[in-house]
Amino acid sequence: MNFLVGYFVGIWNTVRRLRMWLLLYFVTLVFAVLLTIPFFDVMDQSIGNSLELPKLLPGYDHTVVDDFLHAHGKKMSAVIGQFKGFTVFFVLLYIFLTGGILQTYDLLSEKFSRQRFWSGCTTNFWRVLRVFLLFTVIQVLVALLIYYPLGEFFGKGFDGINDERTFYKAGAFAVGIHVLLASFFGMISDYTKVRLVKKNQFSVLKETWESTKFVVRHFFKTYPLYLLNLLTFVGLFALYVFLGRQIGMISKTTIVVMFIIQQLFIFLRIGTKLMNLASISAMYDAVVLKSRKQEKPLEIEGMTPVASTESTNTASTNLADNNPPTSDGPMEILDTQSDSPTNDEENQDYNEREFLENLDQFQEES
Amino acid sequence: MNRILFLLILGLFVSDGVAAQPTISDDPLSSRIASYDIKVKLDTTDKTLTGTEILHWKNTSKDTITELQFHMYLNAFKNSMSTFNAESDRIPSAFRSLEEESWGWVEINEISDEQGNDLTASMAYFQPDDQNEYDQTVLKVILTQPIYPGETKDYTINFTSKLPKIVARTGYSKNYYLLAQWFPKIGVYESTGVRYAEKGQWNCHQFHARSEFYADFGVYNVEITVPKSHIVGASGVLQSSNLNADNTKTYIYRAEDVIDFAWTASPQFLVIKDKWKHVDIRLLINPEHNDNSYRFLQSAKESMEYFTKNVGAYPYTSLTMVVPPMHGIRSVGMEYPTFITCLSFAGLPEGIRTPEIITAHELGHQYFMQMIASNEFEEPWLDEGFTTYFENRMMDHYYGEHSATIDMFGYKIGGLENTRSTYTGMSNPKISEVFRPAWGFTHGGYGSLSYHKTGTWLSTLERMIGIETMNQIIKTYFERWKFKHPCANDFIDIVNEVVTQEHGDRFGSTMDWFFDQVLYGTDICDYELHDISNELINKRTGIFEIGTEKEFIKFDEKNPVEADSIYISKVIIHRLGEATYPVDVKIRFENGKEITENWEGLDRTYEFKYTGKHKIESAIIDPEQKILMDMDFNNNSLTKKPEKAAVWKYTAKFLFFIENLMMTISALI
Repeated sequence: MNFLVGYFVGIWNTVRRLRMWLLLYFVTLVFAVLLTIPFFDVMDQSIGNSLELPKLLPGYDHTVVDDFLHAHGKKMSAVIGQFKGFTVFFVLLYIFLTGGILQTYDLLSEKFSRQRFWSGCTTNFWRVLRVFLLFTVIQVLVALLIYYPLGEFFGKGFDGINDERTFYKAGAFAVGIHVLLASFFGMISDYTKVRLVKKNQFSVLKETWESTKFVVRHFFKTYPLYLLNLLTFVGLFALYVFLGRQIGMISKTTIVVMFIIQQLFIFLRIGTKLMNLASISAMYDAVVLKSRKQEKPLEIEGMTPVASTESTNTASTNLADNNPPTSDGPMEILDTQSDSPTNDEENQDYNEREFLENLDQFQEES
Repeated sequence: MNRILFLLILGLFVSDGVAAQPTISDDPLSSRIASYDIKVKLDTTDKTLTGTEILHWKNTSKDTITELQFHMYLNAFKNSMSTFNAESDRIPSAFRSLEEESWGWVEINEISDEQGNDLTASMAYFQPDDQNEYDQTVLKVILTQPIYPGETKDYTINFTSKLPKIVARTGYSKNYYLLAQWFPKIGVYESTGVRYAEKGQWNCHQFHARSEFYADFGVYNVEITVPKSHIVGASGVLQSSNLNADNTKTYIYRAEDVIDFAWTASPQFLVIKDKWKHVDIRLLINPEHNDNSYRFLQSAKESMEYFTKNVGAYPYTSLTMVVPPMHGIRSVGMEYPTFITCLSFAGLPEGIRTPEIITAHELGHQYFMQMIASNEFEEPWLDEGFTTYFENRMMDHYYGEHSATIDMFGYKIGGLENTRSTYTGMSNPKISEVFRPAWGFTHGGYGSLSYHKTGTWLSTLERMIGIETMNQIIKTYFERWKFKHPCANDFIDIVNEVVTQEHGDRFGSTMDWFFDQVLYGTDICDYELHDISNELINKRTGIFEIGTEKEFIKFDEKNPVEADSIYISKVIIHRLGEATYPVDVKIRFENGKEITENWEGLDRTYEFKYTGKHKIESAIIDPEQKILMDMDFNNNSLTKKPEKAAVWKYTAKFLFFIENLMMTISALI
């Protein structure tokens, strides 16, 4: 699977899980509404009956906004302040939900099941949390690694340089490098989560290392795919800005229209997040499957080995569901993702049939 | 050495250039009390200036002068204990990191009078403002020969100035030099009646962290020698330039009827020339900022046009504009006679109008402080406030009332809007009265009050009395006080005179009540339209005898019978602030009828009461927003039929913002 196919598989799998998509949208909306209600109250009660208010309709009016903030800034600070408290809760909630998302994309052949989704949320919470913590540290270190030297460079002022254009270039270069590196580590983080769930593993460090090896080994598939997903978001944002400029919020009608567009944008933004995980999951599956096809038949302990090409017609091999990990360890499957796979190298719960069905269906429909 | 001798020598020196220095104006515009002939050489290795200045000082008072007082401004940068540094916000560790090359100073090596008496031994630093013994920014010299009324005496001063790394708009940064306050400069002798002087006295303040300058008018003949690679710009008009044998170049400038002389040098300047009417404009700009050159030139021409029309003629024939390189940013945004420094960033978008604003502001100073030479030490509002006021007028006129400062991505701010919100947004707008010496704003407020509060109250005054009356005041002020030293009272006298002349006693017998509040007081203004009520009267219910019949009438507030539809309607106003201004109150009834009431604005609470068949729909205090000093315009009005689309608009935006914030956070997971 090349990255373009992975990208479209990601879109397709996201669309197929519309109910999950809607669920995430409504969770986000409910949280945001809870924080927005106090904002509405402050604005309505403070200047809602003022004749100055309509001046805000055609566009920004500095005097109205500034007087409002001077007079009611403390109330607005309190409204914004609530967000800080919500942030921690929201992060934990999203970590929780991400577990469900990952579980859902691991079982694409089956219909979306709320029960399975919530079960995935619970089962994978600690995995995702630990990945989040680890990669937060990594991202902070990456940022420090880039911006500390940049700060030092800026701190020297104009020693050794003539004009501010050098600063611009240095800043743009640093931001560019940061985007590339942050997205690279973000990608490893996502592959780690996918692997942890697919393989029902708990060792975050080990899976991070394996994921790193995986994305490096398949860099020209994984990284372009990740950047494409990122660009999709950038494209959506650009489209929103364009529409926002064309339409504006200057009348009751345009306010309603823009509100719908804004919510559509948020919905699609959530979609890009799902699409990213879906495409990563698909890419991971495809790479592993390809390796398996080329190199070794699927071997399962206690079962007759079958060629992977035939496995699409066999009964479900959803090992995670049918054979949960025991105290002796999870059921072993040959790991075919590495260059020299062995039975002992990898333990994975991999639903090959499901993936192929999914891919076939996508190719047929596309 | 007398002046003629100096000029003869100067003439010999520039023999390959211009033989005679042309005067710029045929008749002196000013009393030319303090004139200078200066020869100075810039040493770019040691960052020093060595020079000789001949001061021609005229005693225009009736007093016999026995001592001279000099500003030694560069000594403000001599050490951390100077008054300038002690008052500045710089933390001590910031000073510790400075190497010797960063500090600056000036010293007089020798001073003598025209009889050849060496006065050097009589020199002594002193501290008229704060007795800070470490401060050496004011020097007095005891004269051997007194200066009698009407006499002009010459003094020859040999001085050395070590330039600091640029601070407070003077010094060097790499190979860029901005030379301001670079020579020993005589103070102002205020004779009896000048400003607040009850008797003749020197007005020569120390250099403070927040103060600017004050000087007498004169003629400056300045001969500047720099490495030949350096391009020079200066106050006044270039008379000639000559290459010297030692790889240096000498520029000779003459500036007439000015209060100061500043210059710049850098090998990297591009020189762009333009002309506005009789004025030769010269823009010195680094290549990286050249894209914005047209903005500076356009703004300069617009400003001169505007000031000429609304204040008075620009009498000089030159204007030099310097756009410092970014490493010399501490020299941006400063005004010197016919010489200003501006600001630009490489790639600055057009919607950010910093170049235009700074150009307009500094050009405004050519009037307020340069020609109308107020005392910037003691009354900073007289120059900064007036300049801010005119900067806003000019910017709003040319670039839009709501977009003169910023106009980007739908985010727009006007000039006056920005000034007013800077004042109303102060954490403590009562921190000080405006009328205070610059160094008196010890706990903040210098900028916000001197610039922005003054700009706001001048605009308030303009809206109250009308633009024509305001222009008349400004023009009268300019004509009466150009090339002199006015003070607050002089301006207030003109306001009282013109307002009375134009409006009679509409605003009272004088406008002193206004100045007592905005200039000498700290009170704030805030009117609030507290409530609108419409109460039905004749709420008849029960059995009434109408003629011989008994009629049962049941009162229905929603559908009152026609005869009962009489309302007592009230508009209740609160005065939340201490300051008072007369204001209009406009009341609109449901049938579209509008009434405008005049209210003195004195009572703490006040009501307008009406009885009629129609309810009050809305009311607004100061509908034309004349009283810009009002801290909150939003509470000036109420309506019974609010149009809340804007609330929904911003609620939707806020919701969208929060959702995006949450999604951004979720991207980390």
